[in-house]
Amino acid sequence: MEQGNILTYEGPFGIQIISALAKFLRENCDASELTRVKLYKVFIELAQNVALYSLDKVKFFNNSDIGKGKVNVIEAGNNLYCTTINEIQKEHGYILNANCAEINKATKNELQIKKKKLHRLAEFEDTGAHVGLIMISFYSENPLSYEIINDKDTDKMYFKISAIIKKL
Amino acid sequence: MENLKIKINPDQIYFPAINFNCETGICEISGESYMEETYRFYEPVLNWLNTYFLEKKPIIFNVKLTYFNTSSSRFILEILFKLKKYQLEGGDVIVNWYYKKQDADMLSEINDFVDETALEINTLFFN
Repeated sequence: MEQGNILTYEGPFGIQIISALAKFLRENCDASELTRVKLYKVFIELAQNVALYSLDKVKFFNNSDIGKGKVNVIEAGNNLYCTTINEIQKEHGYILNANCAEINKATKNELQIKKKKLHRLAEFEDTGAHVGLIMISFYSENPLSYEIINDKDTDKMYFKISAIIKKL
Repeated sequence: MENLKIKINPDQIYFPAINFNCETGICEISGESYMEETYRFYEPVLNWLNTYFLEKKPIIFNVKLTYFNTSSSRFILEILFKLKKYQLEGGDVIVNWYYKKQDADMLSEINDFVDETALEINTLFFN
């Protein structure tokens, strides 16, 4: 299967960077408007997960902690793959695994019910509504591809997630 | 009270534009919404609505957002709940939500908001 790299980035996921990369994808990806919009939405959700939840953080000029990680967008066959990797706390590996598995086996209706429940539970000052993974699944219209990676050399744990978007 | 007006900065397109008019009751939110620290942006917006509702005047709420992230959706839901509460208390409320015809994901989001809030939302296409 023929592959083409569209975008690769590694570093802090500050909002200005996310916005610039998202704009690049929207304007430069060779796909229909509908597919580019889906990629744009998926990219921002995935990138903001890294910004908020990566264990590896950097202090920005405004003194905020911004998560670091990697993102890669490739085109393979008739699909676009948007993948992020970021360090996580070891106790979060099991939870993320369970959340993704639950999303993948749920029907769309079940996910909508879950989303509503999470919306109601979210605190007012919460930085995320914790429904990002569900929205990525909705937008991409494909199961999430995910992996918890244990790096034995560094004794660190990473969360790798890919959203697959069929080119329409 | 004063109108609430926030223009879109081309370098910060992750903040939506806000144009809330306390004289006409026409309130509009447009653009994209995926900023950091979402509550810092939406808190004054919610406070403005609370103050406006004290005047017992009609409100036409126009949503022209082309994208909002999950964190923003939590606050949009909060706004819609406030509008519904105002309506139940006798307030005159009209909500118009504009979206691109081909954006089925947005229509699905709007329908979810209707289900969650029981607020009637008129869906309209962007010109």
